Amino acid sequence: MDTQAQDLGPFIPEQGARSHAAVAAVVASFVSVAFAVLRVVADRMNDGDHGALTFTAQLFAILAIALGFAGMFETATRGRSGRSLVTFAFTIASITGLAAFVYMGTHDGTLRPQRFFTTFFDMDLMGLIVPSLARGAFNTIRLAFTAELLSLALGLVIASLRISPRRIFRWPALVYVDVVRGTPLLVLAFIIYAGLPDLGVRLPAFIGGVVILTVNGSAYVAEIFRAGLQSIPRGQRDAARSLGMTQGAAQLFVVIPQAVRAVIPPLMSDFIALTKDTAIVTIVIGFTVRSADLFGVARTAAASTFSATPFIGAAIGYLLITIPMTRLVGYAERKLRAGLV
Amino acid sequence: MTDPIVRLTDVTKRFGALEVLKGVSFEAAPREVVCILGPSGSGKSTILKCINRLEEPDGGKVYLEGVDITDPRVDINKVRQHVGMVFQSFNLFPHKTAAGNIMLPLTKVKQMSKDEARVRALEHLNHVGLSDKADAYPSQLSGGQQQRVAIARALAMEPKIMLFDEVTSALDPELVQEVLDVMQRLATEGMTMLVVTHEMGFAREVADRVVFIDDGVIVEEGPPERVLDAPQFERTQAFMSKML
Repeated sequence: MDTQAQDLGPFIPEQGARSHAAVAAVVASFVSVAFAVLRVVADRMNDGDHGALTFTAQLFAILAIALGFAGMFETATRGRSGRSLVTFAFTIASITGLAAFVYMGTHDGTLRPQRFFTTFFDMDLMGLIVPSLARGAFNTIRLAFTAELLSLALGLVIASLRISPRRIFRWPALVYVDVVRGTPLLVLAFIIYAGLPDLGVRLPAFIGGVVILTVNGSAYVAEIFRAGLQSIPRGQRDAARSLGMTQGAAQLFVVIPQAVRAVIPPLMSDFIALTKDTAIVTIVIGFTVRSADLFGVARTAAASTFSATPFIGAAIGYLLITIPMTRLVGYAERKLRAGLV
Repeated sequence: MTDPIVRLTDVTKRFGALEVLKGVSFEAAPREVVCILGPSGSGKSTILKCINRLEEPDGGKVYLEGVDITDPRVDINKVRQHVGMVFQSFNLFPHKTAAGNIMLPLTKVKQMSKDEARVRALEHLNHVGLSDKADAYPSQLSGGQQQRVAIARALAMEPKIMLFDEVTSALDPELVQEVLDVMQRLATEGMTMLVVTHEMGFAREVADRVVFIDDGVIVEEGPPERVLDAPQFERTQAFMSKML
């Protein structure tokens, strides 16, 4: 669109066309809102079906959204100033259109914006569940750390099988990594946790969670290790060997130290993902009250209060764990890239 | 003439279908500087790598001070301690400082203590004019400085022979000379050197002998003034005319 407009530059009165489009978008959004209001009024007056009104409102809403977004894209990609009013019009039109469309599609005649805070930010309830959330956070961290440590160990083993020159080692490792990484964690969790009891293996909830997360995590960790080891140029090994170092010494003192540096940032990102994945495990296993993780605590609290506030509390808990880690990853990346560690 | 320090007899090497060395025989005497010239892909680097068995020769023998190092009973790690090698891409260990790069093989191979190794590392850094860069990481050094550290690292093992594999090819032009200066001094100090290079000036000035190799065989060898300025064979002539 951008390039077209530029190519045809002399033939199209750009500024004028854009203004007209902006006006059209705003008009469309007004019309869609007008029909939406008409329908709400009609709803109030009788119980009849007002499909035509809904359809018209949605039609104009789509028009407003399309024009609005197209116009925003156009002006945004230009990156020139002096069109702020036009851009503003496009923005407003698309947002209004979107609102009208969503409202038409979803409302049950009783939208309750005034309940936003009592639903999501019920401070009294939040205060009540903070101690349980704190305990849940501790359990989440405990679960994540245990699973991560075991994933690192198992992942290292799988990675070394994966780069083995012998096919008999390489093959099973490849299958494991591909199967586990290609299966949704939720499905994997059900397979493991639903299947094991039938075989007579009854795992305590915590152990079961660790097993699921380790099976999943080790496959990802193995791939990170493999990529790290293979990212070290062959010249490094040549140099070490040319100095008389044995194969083992070259690996231990030259290749692995560098590989570790290369894998630290992706491993940390992976650990963040694993921390969030603990919530999925909770769905499958359902911890007891004392060992419940953040999400488990929130679900229990939400079930008895019919409020979304506990989930917000849990989300805040996860963020308190993950955001410092995300920052730490960035810090480690910068340090390692500078090569000064 | 003294016994050769290194001797190759009919060495062959192939990578898959590609025959890189088609029977190479030559020798180098102690304190001799031999420059190996030839078009890219001619097998120059492979010859060097066969001498410390970073590449295993498929056929032929390599003797170091009369010992056949292609013999499977030979402890190749012992042999390599006597054969220093410097690479085109430096291959410094990026996680170690300049001094740390030199100390690593001293402590892990020669079993020196950290303190001893550090003293020797500083000596050798001083020797290549980098005593002030001992604690700098490779990423903080210019290409020329990195290559001088790499030379110091090889020399610290006190090798009997040094192999240089196109050590100035990856350098910016203005950094080439500082590396060549170090090599020239090394030659005058009596180190035996096998130098794969494209630096004609260096070959002319420093080499005792020039070997021209093409397509996996030695085409011509002799003193630099003869091979460089009055080559006898057509292939050598064609190559030299392109280089000069």
